[in-house]
Amino acid sequence: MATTITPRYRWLVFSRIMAALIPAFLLINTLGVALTLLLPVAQHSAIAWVTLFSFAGYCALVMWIFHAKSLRLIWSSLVIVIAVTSGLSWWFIQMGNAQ
Amino acid sequence: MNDSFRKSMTWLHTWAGLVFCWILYFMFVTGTVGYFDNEIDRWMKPEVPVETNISIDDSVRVAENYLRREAPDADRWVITPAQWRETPHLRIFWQGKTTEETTENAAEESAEDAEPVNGNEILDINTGEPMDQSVRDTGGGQTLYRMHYILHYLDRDIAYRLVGVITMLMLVGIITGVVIHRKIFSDFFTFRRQKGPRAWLDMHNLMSISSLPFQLMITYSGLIFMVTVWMPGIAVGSYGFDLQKADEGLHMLVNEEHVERSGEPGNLVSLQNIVEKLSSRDDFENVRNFEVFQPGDTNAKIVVNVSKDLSSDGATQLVFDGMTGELIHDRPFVKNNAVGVAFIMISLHEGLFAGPFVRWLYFFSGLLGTGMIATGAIYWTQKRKVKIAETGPDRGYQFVESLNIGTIVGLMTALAAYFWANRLLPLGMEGRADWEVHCMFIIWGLCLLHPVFRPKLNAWMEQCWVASLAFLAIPIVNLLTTDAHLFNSLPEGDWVLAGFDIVAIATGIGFAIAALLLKNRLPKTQIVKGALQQAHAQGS
Repeated sequence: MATTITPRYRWLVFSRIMAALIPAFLLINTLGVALTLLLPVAQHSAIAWVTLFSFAGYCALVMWIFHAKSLRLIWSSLVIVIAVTSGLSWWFIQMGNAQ
Repeated sequence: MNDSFRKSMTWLHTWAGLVFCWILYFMFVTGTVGYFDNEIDRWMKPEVPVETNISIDDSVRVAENYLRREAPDADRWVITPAQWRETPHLRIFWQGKTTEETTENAAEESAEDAEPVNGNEILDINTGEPMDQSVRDTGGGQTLYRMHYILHYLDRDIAYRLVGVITMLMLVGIITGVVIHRKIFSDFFTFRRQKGPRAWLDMHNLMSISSLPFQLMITYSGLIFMVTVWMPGIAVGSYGFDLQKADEGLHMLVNEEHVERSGEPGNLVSLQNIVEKLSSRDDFENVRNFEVFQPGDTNAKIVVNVSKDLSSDGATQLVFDGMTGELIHDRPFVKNNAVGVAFIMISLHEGLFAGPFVRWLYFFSGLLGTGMIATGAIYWTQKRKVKIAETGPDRGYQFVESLNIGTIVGLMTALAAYFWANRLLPLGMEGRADWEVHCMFIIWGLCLLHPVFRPKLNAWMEQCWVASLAFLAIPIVNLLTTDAHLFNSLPEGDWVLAGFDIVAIATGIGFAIAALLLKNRLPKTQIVKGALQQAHAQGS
């Protein structure tokens, strides 16, 4: 990168590293859980397939984080997807327990 | 971070690649030599006799005698017959009896004998007794190969997580690497004979692209290997954090035998009987091991794991009744396609199925990966060299350059030191096997320090000479200390022992050539070096 290293640049990089390490990893897990509950196959089988591909998903997500332009877009997307998928999973599991 | 996707990915490739590349290099070096772990074991334990052509019958007979005598009331026996490359000796393991007493004690964490007593032995086929391996206490090839995922000194949990992050960075590195090379095929055929950063980049591309399928396979399967450590959350979360349910779900993926005791002492059917039944099967040669659950109880069951080529870890499972010897199940170990895929990946990673040709292919693919990391790290510094000459050396550059020298070449010297230590440390020494490893890391530490105090190009050359001598001297040290030297191994046609010494010589010659090439370049780069020194003088 030809850009000079400014405090702002450091912040842009640091924030993305943090996003890739913590919320992105969390997102892969919550999205994964939601998929295992949504997929129309036996749960244990869905878990095996989703877990198998989870690293590929994580890799793609990290690549997006380092390409996306604004930090706000990155963080808000991560938070929203985590909230929606974990809420959905929670609802599914509650429904399953109620039956 | 950039308008262009390729530019962002180039940035990510550069930094994801660089940040832990020295540990990744360590993983690749130890993992690559790990494809010859048993051959290295052989070289490092020259006193241990080689047993060949031991039949499964003999292995089982000897093991059964020993286990019936020493551990009749164990929870489980495992007998691994001596037959393949990775099982040169008859190995037995037994899991001690779990009683209510031991469970209670374990809960209270009071007594030392709370843990059931397990055993692990290599048996001498002729005497039927544990083989004496104490002549030369050594970590052998196994310790070396295990370093590529436990990194040796770290706590295992920390090491696994660190290795997970690094492997993930490797995956990101590979995928971004592919993305930024639009002209992947034309790049493959491009090698500009010139010096400087462009030549290093060409070399990096050549090595990466030619071994891309291997690198992708080894990285992804590496992640799959420890999926339960790195990605357990999906399974646990899917069952609403109910660990018992998650455990039950896991057991639905594979066929696992779980045998409760009846409490009645039973008379286990002779394992010879089982072997006889197996011998009529087509896959008799592929029998991997025998597991006996609750051998002293009327509920005893015998599980025979039969492996086939690639799916060696997802083998066929034969279950026999322990009292009658009757075949109860003949089924695949894996019950789920995704798990089947995972096991194939793991088998590909381990390469246990590989014959000599494929094994060498694995070895060279590993070397290409090692070279890919090394050339990538060197390219990072080369690219900055010109700029540095103008603006003066910065600390980051110096740091990377020193780490590069001390790791890319220095780790190889350290590896040689590990083999030297095996031959030179006194045989009766306390903690000898540990000291072999300490020697390796002490030498690596010294190699990391050396470039800090030397002009960098000189440091490269000097370390190449040291590595060259360290490897060239291995057959000589071997000649002076043991009978396993080339003058014996070559006439006897013992290619495992001879192969080790020959590879050491080849490695030594390789580093000598590298040193000579660097020597030729020294005067030509005096200008840059002069500029560097000048800049350094101005800076200080």
